[in-house]
Amino acid sequence: MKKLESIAQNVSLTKNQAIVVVLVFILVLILFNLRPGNYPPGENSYLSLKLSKEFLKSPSLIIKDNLSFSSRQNNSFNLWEIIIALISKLTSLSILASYKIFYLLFAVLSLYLFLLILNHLKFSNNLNFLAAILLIISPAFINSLSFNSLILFLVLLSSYLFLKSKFKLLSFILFIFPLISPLIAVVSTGVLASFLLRKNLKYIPPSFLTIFLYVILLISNVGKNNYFNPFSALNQVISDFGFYHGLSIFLLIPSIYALKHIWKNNAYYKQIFFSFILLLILSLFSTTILLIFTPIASVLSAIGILYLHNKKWNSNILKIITVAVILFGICLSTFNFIVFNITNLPDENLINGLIYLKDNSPEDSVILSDPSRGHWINYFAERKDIADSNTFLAPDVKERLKDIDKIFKTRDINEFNKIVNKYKISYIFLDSELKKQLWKTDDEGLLFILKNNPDTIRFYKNSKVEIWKILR
Amino acid sequence: MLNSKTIILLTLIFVITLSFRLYFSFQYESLSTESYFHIYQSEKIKNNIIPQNYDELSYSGRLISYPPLFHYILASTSFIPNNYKIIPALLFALSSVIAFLISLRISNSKWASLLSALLYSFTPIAVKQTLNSVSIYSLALPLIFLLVYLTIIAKEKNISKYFILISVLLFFSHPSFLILTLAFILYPLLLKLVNIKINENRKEVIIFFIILSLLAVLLLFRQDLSQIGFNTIFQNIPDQIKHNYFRSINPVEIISGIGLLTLIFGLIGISNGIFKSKQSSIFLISSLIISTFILLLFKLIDFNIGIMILGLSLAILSSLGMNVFFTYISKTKLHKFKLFFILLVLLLAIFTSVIPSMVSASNIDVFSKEEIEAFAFLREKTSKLSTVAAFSIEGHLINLIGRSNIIDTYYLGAPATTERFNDLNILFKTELFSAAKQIIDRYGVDYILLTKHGKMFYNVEKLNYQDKCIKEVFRNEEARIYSTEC
Repeated sequence: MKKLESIAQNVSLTKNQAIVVVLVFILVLILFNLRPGNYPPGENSYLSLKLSKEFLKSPSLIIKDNLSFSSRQNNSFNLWEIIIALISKLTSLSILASYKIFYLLFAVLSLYLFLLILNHLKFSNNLNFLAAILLIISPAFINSLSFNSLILFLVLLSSYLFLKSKFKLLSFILFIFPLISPLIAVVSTGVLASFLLRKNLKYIPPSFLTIFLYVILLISNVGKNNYFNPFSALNQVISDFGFYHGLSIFLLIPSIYALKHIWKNNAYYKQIFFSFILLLILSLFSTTILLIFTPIASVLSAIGILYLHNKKWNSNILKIITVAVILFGICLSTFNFIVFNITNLPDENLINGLIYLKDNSPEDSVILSDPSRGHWINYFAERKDIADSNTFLAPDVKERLKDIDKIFKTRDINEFNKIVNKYKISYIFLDSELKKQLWKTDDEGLLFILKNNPDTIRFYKNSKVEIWKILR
Repeated sequence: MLNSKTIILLTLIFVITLSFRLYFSFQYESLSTESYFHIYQSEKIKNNIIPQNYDELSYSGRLISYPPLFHYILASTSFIPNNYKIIPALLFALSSVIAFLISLRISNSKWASLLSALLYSFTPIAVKQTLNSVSIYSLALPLIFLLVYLTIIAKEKNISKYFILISVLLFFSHPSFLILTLAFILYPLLLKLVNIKINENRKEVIIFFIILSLLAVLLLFRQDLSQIGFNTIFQNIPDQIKHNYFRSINPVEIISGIGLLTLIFGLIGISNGIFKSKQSSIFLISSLIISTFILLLFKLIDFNIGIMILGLSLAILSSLGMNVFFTYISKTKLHKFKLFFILLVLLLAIFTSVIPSMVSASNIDVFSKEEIEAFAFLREKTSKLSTVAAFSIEGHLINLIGRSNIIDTYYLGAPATTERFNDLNILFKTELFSAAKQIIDRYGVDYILLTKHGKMFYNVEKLNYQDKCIKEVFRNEEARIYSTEC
């Protein structure tokens, strides 16, 4: 208890507040782990899991990914995946267990760093407490427990070192950051750099060179493969529209209110304001950027909520209801996200189907499915996909996505055969959720062909998954 | 304080509005086509008390979420004969009193406000949309304008408890509260543009409303948001009718729907309130108009509903325009003829609003007696487990008589609306029985209903295919029913 008291003092929380923060964290952890089975929800974690698994099979620097897009150039240095693979080998822990342990550890460290930053910024105890709670219950933070809490940790560590003016250590962190997550490194360094230049520094971190090179690479590839749908982007960024790991709209509104409140017409505040807007816009293009945005939004939101609460209102009842609704709305987003995650794929049936495929198909088989199933096919079945959601630097993305769309919709056997031959497809993997999304009836598009084509046979079926084999 | 003359005249406007609506409403034997959704929902409330989120008849089984207040009102007044005609008419007539109160606040002229309330009551598009109709807007619009009124008087009075109550009632009535949310977001921005500081009391009610309305959206449409996310705002309307439902803005339609006098005085009111007197309450109603315009522009609101809200808002603002006009007259040599000008405006109001409203009231689209006979046949002569394929606007009436439909006009949250719409198109228009058979089997269709409305929409007189499986079991001048017996 004394230890907790001293930690609480370090981070400017009262003892009771520290206890509540710990309890909320544990509660979120328990709720998040109510998900049946061991495997994390969603698809993103499976890219890292797959790369670590691949590294264990052939321990060299990962330059090529043989499974994604049926074989492609890798778009990242994957230092973290390599480290996890090595840890797993040395400790005989499974890769999945290693990830889980380290993500939990980095989530705890991120929270501690977050509080240290708030302490450094000399906010009040109440604000620190509220901001910490808002961060813990934000869908992006909860999601980082199964994916990416290392990135959150590095973002917060960079910010902390920056605030403490420890630039040598900061430049080292910024040097290794692109080796773990190039995109986040670029964005967070960009934001930090804008503040760094204001400090009139003589010392420019050498790591900026790495970032600079990566930015050139990034810019040269922008527009080649990327698709942008504003509605699906909004669904991803605002957690309440679709229950993804985005921001609660009730976190965003007080943040904007806080920005208005703390606004002073000087360059420093303008910089905070423009960073906020920039990060929000960039989040529309990559939800991983929410990992930088969420801690900022949590602090601003706490400022906004406390300002609404402490401000003198002429009608007390309006004030109480407004603040209560904001807090309830934030909790509702968390609740929706957790429930969504508990039921989210992959589930046991899907995993069983993919393991069956792994055990009963040749190693170089190419599997046709929706790109959102690509990482699962790579990880569980260890087979090639045609396309997955890791599209950056992937070959012929537009063409592949178009072909997948075409084969799902066609009832023309010639068109079907043409695409099958083009990608050497041997199996087709469909799950009930995907079928519901793509087709309304059993005789639509690809389903019609599968049912009526003598060259396709049902290879595997359980209550949620069916796999079709293409005979040649 | 209002003097007794004003109260008598206002009561007269209320009585005229109510009588007008009831008179024309009782000229029809049935209600407007979209009424049956609300009647069906209120019947369900009567039977189950709590709203059900699964409807086994609509779309032959679907999840449904709809704010239930209106249906509770209808269900609880079912002891009144013809409550489906009387309650909406009464609610709309009451809203003319609210229009008067807002007008009085912004113009400070009793005559102008009374004329404005008259224009409000006889806005042709509002008559067309809500007369003889169990229209949700007969409840939602008075609540919206009441909230506008409360926001205006919040400057001087403590209205927070009433504001909370009316807001909650509106949230439980209809998603059109989002128009007001958008207006409340635009209002401070408009004031900022002209450097007017927003009153603190108004600011409080606005913040409260915006926050609470977001929560209301998340709670009321949780199901839809989880499935289709942000696309919920497009209401899952079938692609084939999107262009009809969300039409482009046509100036002639706007003028005839709103009424020329309302439009002219409304625009004078806006320009005077914004540019000359800089009244913050004018900015509030203007932001309601702008938000409706934005929704119309992005085709997020039904065209007729959008124009109706524009018309009613302009009718309220016209009081300021009329006041400016009468004040101008009183400053000229014509001041002796002020009463003459009031009568002239009244006469113009009759020509541009009341008479067009009477024309609209005489041409409401309802199900004919023959069509109703066909529905009666379905209720009496078919099994309760039957599924009836019919034009989408007939879907709710099919549900009301206790039979399943393939499609109806409440699209939000419904399965595969575009596909179903297309399939019905094939079922009614194809010449090949094999194509029709596929659809009959897909949805388990037992009866095909082709009414006057369906004939007009699909441009057919009867089914174009013949087979021993398809038997005509009912026929009158306007409707045919076929059974599918294979």
